[in-house]
Amino acid sequence: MAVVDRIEHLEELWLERPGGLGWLTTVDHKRIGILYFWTTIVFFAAGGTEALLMRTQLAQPDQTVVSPETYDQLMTMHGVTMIFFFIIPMTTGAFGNYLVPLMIGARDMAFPRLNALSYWIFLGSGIFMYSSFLVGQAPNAGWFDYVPLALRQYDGGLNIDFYALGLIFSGVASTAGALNLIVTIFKLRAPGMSWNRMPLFCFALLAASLSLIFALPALTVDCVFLELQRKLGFHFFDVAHGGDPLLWQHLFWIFGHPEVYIIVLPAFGIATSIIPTFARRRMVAFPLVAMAELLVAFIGFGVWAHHMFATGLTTTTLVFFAAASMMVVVPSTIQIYAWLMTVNLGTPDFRAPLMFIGGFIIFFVLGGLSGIMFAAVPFDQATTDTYFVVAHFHFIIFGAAVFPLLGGIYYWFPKVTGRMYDEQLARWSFWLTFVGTSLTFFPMHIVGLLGMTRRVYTYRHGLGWDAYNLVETIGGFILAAGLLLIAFNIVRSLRSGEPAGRDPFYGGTLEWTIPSPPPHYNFAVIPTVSSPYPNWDEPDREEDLRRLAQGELVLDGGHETPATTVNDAELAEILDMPPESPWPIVLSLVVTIAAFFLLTEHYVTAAFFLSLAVLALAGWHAAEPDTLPVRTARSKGWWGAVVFVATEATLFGTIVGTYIYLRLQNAHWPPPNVPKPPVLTPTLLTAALVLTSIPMYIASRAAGEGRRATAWRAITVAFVVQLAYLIWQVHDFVHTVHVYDPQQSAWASVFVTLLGADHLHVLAGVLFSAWFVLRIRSRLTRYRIVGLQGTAFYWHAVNVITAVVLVVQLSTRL
Amino acid sequence: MTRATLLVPPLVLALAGCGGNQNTLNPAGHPERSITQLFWVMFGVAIVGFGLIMFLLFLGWVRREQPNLPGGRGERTAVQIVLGFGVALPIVLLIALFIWSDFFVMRSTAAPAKGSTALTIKVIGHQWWWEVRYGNSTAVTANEIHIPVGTRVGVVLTTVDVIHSFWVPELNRKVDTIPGTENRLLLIADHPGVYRGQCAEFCGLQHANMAVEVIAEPKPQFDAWLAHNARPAARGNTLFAQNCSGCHEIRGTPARADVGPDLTHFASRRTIAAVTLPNTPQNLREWLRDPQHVKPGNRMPNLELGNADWTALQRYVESLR
Amino acid sequence: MDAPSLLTPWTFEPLQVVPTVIVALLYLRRSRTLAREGRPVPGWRRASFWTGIALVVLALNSPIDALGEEHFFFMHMTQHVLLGDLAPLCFVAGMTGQILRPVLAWSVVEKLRVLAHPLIAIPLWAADLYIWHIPYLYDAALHHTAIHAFEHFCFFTFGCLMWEPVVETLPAPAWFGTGPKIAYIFAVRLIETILGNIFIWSNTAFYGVYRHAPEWGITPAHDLNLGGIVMMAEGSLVTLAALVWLFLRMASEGETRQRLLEQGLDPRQVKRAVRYGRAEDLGAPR
Repeated sequence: MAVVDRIEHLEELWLERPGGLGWLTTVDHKRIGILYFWTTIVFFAAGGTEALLMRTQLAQPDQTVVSPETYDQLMTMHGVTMIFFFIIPMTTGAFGNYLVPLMIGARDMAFPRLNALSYWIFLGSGIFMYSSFLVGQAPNAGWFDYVPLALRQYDGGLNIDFYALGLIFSGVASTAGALNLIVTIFKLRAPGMSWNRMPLFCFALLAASLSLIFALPALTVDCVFLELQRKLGFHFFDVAHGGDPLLWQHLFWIFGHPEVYIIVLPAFGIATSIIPTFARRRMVAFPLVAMAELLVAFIGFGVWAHHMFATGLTTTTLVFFAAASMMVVVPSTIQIYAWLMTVNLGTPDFRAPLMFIGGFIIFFVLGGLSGIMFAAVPFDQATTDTYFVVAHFHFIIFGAAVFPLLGGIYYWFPKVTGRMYDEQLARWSFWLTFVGTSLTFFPMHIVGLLGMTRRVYTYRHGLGWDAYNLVETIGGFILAAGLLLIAFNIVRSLRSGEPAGRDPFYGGTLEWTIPSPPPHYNFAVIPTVSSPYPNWDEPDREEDLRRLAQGELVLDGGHETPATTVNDAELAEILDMPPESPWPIVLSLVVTIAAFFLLTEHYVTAAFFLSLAVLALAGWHAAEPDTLPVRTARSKGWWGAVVFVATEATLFGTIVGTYIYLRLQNAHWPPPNVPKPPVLTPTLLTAALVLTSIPMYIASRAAGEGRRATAWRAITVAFVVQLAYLIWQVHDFVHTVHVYDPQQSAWASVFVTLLGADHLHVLAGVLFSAWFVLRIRSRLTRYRIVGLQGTAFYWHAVNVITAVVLVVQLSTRL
Repeated sequence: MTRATLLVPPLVLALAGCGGNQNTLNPAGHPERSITQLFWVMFGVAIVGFGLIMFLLFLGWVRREQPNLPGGRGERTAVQIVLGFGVALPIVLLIALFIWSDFFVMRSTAAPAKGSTALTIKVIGHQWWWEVRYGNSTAVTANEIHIPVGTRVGVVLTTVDVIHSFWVPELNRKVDTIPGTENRLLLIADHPGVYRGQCAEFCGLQHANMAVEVIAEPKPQFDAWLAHNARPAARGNTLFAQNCSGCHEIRGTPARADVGPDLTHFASRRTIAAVTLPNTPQNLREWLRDPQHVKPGNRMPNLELGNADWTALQRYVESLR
Repeated sequence: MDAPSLLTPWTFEPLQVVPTVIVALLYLRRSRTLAREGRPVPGWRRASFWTGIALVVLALNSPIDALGEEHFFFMHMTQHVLLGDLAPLCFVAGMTGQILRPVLAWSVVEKLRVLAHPLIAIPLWAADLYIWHIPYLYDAALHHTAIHAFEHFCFFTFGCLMWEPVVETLPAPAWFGTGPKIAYIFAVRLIETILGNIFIWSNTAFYGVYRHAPEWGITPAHDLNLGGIVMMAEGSLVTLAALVWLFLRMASEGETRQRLLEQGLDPRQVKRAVRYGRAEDLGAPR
C-alpha cells in the first residue's frame, strides 16, 4: 500500500459524523478540547463582566451602581466562575485535552467517552450554576463560602444551594477529566517516551491532575456536609450540637490550597513549552524542573492552615504552617531561574507568546514575593482579608496563570487552526493586557496596606483609597480592551490568517511533527521518541517516514492507538478505541436535571433521574469494541480503577477525618444520651462482605486467563452475598437513622453520613457486579475482562473502606 | 540595587503619610510597629530579589538582538545558578525570615494571657455592628472603644452570629470572632488619637459598613468616660419604648433588648451605624427615618411615624448623653 | 518531679544502653574484618552507621530522655522520631550485605527477611506506630522501664524494616523499583500525617503523665500539639528529601535504561541491571 492510501484509510477510519450533530457525539480529544475552549471563554467573559461591574461600583467611594446584594453575588460568582468554570476547565479541559495526546504521540485520550462525559457534565454544572442568576439567587457568601454565614439561618434562599450542588457537580467533571489525563499520561505515551523524555507540559498536567484527584474530595465532602445541614438539618458546623465552624474552613482549604497549584501548574507547563521553542534550546535543568512541578503539588497539600492564620489557632500550629508554606518557595524559584537561564542560554526570539511568558514571569515573581510575605505570620495577620491579598492572588491567578494561557493561545493557534495569528496585533494586545493588569492589581497592594478590606461593596471617602481605586477601575477596562483585542485577533485570523504550515515556530515537541490542523487520527505513524524534544531529532523523524512507507506501527486495523508500559513506555498492546457515542451527552442531561430537582428538594424525582443515569451507563457499555482477549501489562482500565479508588478513598478519608476532628473538639463523643451502636450484626455483615473479595479475585483472575465459566460462577457467588449484605444493611440503616437522629448531634450526623456513603458505594459495586453477571454469562471479550478486573479492584477497595467504617463504629465502645 | 534602595525612603514617606486613620504603615503601638518594620524589611529584600530576576529577564530581552552577548553558553553554569539562586539563597533567606517573623515579631503581637492586662474589654461581633463591654464595669457601648493611652488592653472577641474579624490596623493585627470560641487580642496605643478599624471577614450584606473606632485618651479622661458610661440613663421615653425597645437597650429604662446596640449614652458617641455617618443632627434624622437607605439590608426597619413623633424621638435620643 | 531544665543530666539505663554498645562493637569488628579481607565498607556507609548510633545515644541518653519521660510529650516524640525514623534510616544505610553475612547465615534471620518485604513492612510499621500511641500502652511504657525499653526496641526495629526496602541494603523484590518506592514513601507519609494531625488538632492531652500544671508556659494540650508538630516536621523534611532523591534517581535510571536498550542489549537484562544499580556492569557509562 502506498503512503497516500494508508493516510486515506486512516482518514476514513477516524472520521466522525459530519455537521453539528457530530459535535454532540464526538469523542475526539481535539474536538472536545475545542468545545472546552469556547465554553470556558464564555464563562471567562461572564466572570470578566462581573469583575468590571464590581470595579465600576468601586471606582469612587459611596457609589450605588449595584446594590449590596448584587455586589455580593457578583463577587462570589466572579471567584467561582474564574476558578471552577474558567481556569480548571481551560487548563485541564481545553489545553490538556487537546495537547497531551499530541505531545505524547497518542491518537486519543485513554477514555474517549469519559472525556466527552466530563465536558458535558462541566457544561451542565456551569449552566446549573449560572441559572441562579435567572432567579436572582446567585451564590452570595464569597467563593470560600464560610459558615455560619452560608447556613440557612443567615442565608435562606437557594443561593448557597446553587453553590454547593454546583460545585459537587462540577467536581465530578474535574475528577473525570483528571483521571483521564493521568491514565493517558501513564499508559498512552509513544513507545520510547520514558518519564525522563516526557514533555514538561505533561509533567505539569500530571501534577495538576494528581492534585485534583486528591484535593477535590475534600471540597465535595464539605459541600455535601453543607447541603445536609442546610436541607436536612444535620449538624456539622454549629457549636451548639457539637459541630465546629472551623471544620468548613479546614476542609475547604485542604482543597483550596492545592487548588492554587492546580491553577498555576498548567501555566508553568505552558511556559516550559513556549520558552524552549523561542529560545531555540532545550530547558536548562530539565529533571529539576520536572521534579519541582511535582514537588509544588505535593507540598501544596500540607499548608492549608495558612489561610486560617487569623482564626486564633495556637501559636505552635501557626509556626508549623508558616514553615511549611515557606517550603513552597523553593520549587518555584527553581523553575523561575530555569526559565530565565534557558532564555539566556539560547537565542531568544521575543514573539508574542514569549512576550506573554515574560509578562508571566514578572507577575509571578511579584505575586510570589508578596506570597512569601504572607508566610510571615504577623504580617499575614495584619493584611489578610485586605486588598493586599486581593493583589497577591490576582498576580498569581491572573498574572501567573492566565498570562501563559494567553501566550499559549497564540502559540498553539497555528497548530489548532492551521492559520497564523496577526503578530503585530498580538504584540499590541500583550502591551495592553500587561499595562491593564499592572494598573488593575498593583495599586491594590497599596490600598490594602492603607487598610481597605476585601469584599466591601463600597467604602468611605477620606481614607486615602479613592485615587487608587479609580486607577484600578481604569486599569480593569484597559485589561478588558486587551483581552478583546486578543479575541478580535483570533476571530479575524481564523478567517483570514496566513496558512501556518506544519511547524511555524520550530517547536520541540511531537505536536509540531504533524500537519496543522491535526488530522483526526493525529499521527499517521506512531512516532519514534528518543529525547524530550522529538521534533528536533531529525533522524527519528526520517525513521517515522520510513516506517510510514513500510506500514510499521501505522495501526490502521481500526480505531487503534498503542498502549505502553508505565515506566519505560515499551509497546504493550494495541488498543481499539471506541467510536463516537451519544451516551455522554444523554448521561449529562439526566444528571443536570437531577441536580435541579435536588436543588428544589424533589428528592424522589431526583432519584428517578439518577436511576435513568444508571440506565444510560448500561447503554454506554453495551456497545463495545469487538476484540479478543490478550494478556498484557496492567491495562488502562486497571489504572483507571486505581485512580478512581484513590479519589474515593480520599473521600472516605475526609469523612473519617471529620469524625476524628470533631471527636477531638468534643468532650462527649458520642453525646452521653445516645445508645452505643451495635457490634455483632455489623461485624458479621462486614466479615461476609469482606470475604467476597475472594470470589472477586477468582473471577478477575479466571477472566484474565479466559476461563469464562469459572469467572461467571465466582462473580455470581460474590454478587449474591453483596446483594444480601446491601439489603440487610439498608434495612438496618433505616433503623439507625431513627435511633441516631442526625438532627440531634454532630456525632450522629457524621456517623449516619459515613454509613450512608459506604452503603452508596456498596450499591454502586452491586450494580457493577450485576452487570458482569449478565455480561459474562454469554461471552468474554477484552472489554469485559478489563471491566471485570477494574470492578474487582473497586470491590477490594470498598471492602477495605467498609472495614474502616466498622472500626469507626466500634471505636465508640473504647 | 542602589537605585532600588533610593526609591524606598520616599515611598515610605508617601505611604505612611497618606491615607486616613486606618493605615497599617502608620503604627501607633509596639505590636503594629514591629509588623510595619517587618514589612519594610521584607519589601526591601523583595525589591532586590525582583531586581535580580528582572535583570536576567532584561538580559534575555537584550540577547534577542545580540545573540553573541557573553554568558550565553555553559549549561553547567546555568544549572549552578538555578541551584544557587533557586535553592540555596531562598533557603537561607527564608530561614532568617522565619526566625525573625515567627518568633520575634510574633511575640510582640501575641495575644495577652488571661488576666495579664489591667483592663479587659469584651468585644462582641453582631451583623453589622460591634458591641463593647468593659470588665469590672457596667459600661456598655457600641462601635467605639475607649482605651487609656500607653496601657496594655486585653480584648476578648466573640460573636453572636457569623464570623467577623476585628482589626484596628494602626494598633495591631486582626483576629476573627468565631462562634463558640473566645479569641484574644492586645491593644496598645502610644499617643492619644482616634484609630479606625473595620470588620475584615466577609459577614453579609453590610460587611462594608461595619467599622469601629478606638479612641485612646489620657487615663483621667478615660476614667471619667468609663464612670459616665457605667451610669444608667436619666429617663425613659414612651415613643422609644413603643417603637425601639424590641431591639435596643437603654439602661435604667424598661428597654433592654440586645438585637441592636445599647443606646444608653448614644448622644456622646462620635458616629452612627458602626462608623457609617458622623453623629450630627442631620445624619441622625436621616438614619432614624430611613435606615434602609443608609445601610441597605441592615436589621433596623424603616418605621412609619408622624412628623411630630419623629422629632420627639430624635430629641429623646439626642438627650442620651 | 523537678522542674524541667536543659541541664537535666544524661541518663544511662542498662536496658537501653547495653544493646547499643553490643551492636556498635559487632559492627566495628565486622567492618575491620572486611577491611582486612580487602573488601572495606565504603566510608559513607560507616559514617551513616555511626551517625545512627550517635542519634540513638542522643535519643536515649541525653536530657531528651529525662525531659520526655517526665515533663513533655513533645520531647518524648523527639526521642521517638530519632529512635524510630532517623536512626533506623542511618543504620540501614550503614549496612551492606557483606556486613550482615554472618547474621544472615542463621536460618531464622534469613526467614525473617520476609518482614522487610515492602507490603509486609509497611503495615507492620504502621501498626507499631499506632498501637504504641494508644493511651493505655503509652502510659504503661512510661510507668515500666521494661515496657519502655520494649517500646523503643519496637520503634527502632520496625523503623529499620520500613526503611529497608527503600534503601535496599538487601535487595527488595524486583517489581519494587524507584516508581513504587515513591508510592511507598507517599504511603508512609500519609500514615504518619494522620497521626500527626490528630495530635496537632486535639484540644486535650491524651496521656496521663503529661497532664500536669504548665511548665515552661506549655499547657498539656499545647504540649500534645507540639508533639504532633515535631512528628510532622521531621516526617515532612525526610519525605521531601527522599522524594527528591528518588525522583532524580528515576530520571537518571530512565535515561540509562533507554541508552542501554538502544545499544541493542537484552531488555530483561538491562532492566534488572538498572533496577539494582549495576548498569556499569553492562558496560554503560552512567
